[in-house]
Amino acid sequence: MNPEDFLLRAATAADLDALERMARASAVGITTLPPDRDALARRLERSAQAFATADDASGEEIYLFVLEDLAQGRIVGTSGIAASAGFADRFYSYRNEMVVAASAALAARNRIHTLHLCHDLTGHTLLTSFYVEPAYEGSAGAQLLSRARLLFIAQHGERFSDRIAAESPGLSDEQGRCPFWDAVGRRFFGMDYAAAEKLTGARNKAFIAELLPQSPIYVPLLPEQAQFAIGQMHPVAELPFAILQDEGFDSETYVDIFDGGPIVEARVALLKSVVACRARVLSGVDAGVPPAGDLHLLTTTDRAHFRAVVAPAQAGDGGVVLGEAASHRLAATPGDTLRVAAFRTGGVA
Amino acid sequence: MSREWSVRETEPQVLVAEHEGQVGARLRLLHAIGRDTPRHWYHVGRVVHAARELGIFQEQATLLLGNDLTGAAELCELQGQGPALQALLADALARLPAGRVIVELPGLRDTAGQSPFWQGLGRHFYGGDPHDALACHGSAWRGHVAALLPRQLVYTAFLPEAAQAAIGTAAPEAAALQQALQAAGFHPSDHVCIDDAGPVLLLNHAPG
Repeated sequence: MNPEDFLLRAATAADLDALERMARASAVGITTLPPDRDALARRLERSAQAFATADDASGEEIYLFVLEDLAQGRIVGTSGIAASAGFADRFYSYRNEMVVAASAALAARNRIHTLHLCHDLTGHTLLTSFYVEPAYEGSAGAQLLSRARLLFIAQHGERFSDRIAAESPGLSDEQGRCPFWDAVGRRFFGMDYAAAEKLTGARNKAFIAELLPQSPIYVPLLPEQAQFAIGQMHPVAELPFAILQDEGFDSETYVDIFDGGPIVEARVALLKSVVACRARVLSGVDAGVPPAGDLHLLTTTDRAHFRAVVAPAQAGDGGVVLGEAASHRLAATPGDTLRVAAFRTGGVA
Repeated sequence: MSREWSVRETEPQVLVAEHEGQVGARLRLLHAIGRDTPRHWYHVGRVVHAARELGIFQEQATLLLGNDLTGAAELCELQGQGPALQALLADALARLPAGRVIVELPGLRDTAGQSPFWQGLGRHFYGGDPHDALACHGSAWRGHVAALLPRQLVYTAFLPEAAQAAIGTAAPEAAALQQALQAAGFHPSDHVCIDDAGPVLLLNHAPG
């Protein structure tokens, strides 16, 4: 697949069919993209509002992006951002902690893994809703889908937190059985994970968290299967997880309170793409075919009409020069400011 | 035919009930326990998690490690039964000022001498053999092992069923003793021993 076939852009109401198709195609479900047409339509509306509004950010905003394969003329992926996790309420997670105790008399020392219910990630910006069609997993499009969000956040920093997190679905089988839930949540809900999710529906997870033990969970007391599931993700999450790990996200500290899946966390300013990117003026268009230069990740800086591509470019302090096709994909004309980071297969240099 | 039991202190803290030179019951009487070396128990509590809208109302039993019974008097190493024990208990209580008096009863064990409660909880925090530790340190081993046990509230729902069932349940062979103690006014408290979860019986002693 040619990196230049892809365009990432702000989702619009017209993307509803594609979004619904992807929400239904996702193997374990994308919690922030329920396969419910009305709910998706509302999310698209909220997203369009967030991209377009001239108001200051409240933290309630969500931003949805779609990835187009221009060669095929279809949408093949989606991703999103929630400006502030747990907006207006709390965002719960379990924090991994080690408690060490010792008894000199017994010449014994233990190191006990505990899970602490916490609100640490409340207010963090949350990367959400990542889905790419399986055929595109190895493509530049998948990288664009995940990383362009970071350039968007870097460009519009005042609308986001300086800390960022992302959830990955935890281990569950085809029947929806989840070993972590069975060992923890089920004991306090008396129902299986699917039933609990259905029951709580679109409610904030905070609602559920109030039913969980407020004291730390001593991991050695859990069945082995559940212990193993802590911090383990469902195989479908491997690609987005790997991209975020490459960006410098930490995956050791937090896990989801329901399925034990890892929640990665980072300082925005330290992420690879954020460190690497620069604001550059589009100084010229290269008519050559193919245009000169190495592959770059390029985004527009206009929030309402956000677009991002991967394309060859020559970038320097004097500005950035792009091929005609790429500037057309970005709908950018000389004089526009772009955000630019060098791109290599598998990541941003 | 009832015999007269006389009680005397044979050595410091040790009381025996005798009849014509025969010892019928024996115990050790401790004042103000846990003041030189800390003593530990689990407090068995309850937490209610309720969400009316979800139709969820869950009552959960909890264990919290603490030193709640510090300062109480304790009757321990109890031996004997029947009227001898009865007379001994009455005499021991008469020697005590007003306040809490406790007796720890042995908890459930399987035929191999293993405590299901220890298997479900304690062993995850101390890998050594409790029998060896007891042999080596005497009853003080419980104070040592307490340093390794969970300091935060433990929901018993995380323990195996056999361990949950053992909480506050006395070993069958202690049934007669428990009866005698209850006849003397002791009742089960909200505390259990930290190794086998045997019940702690409590009396709020108010002499005369």
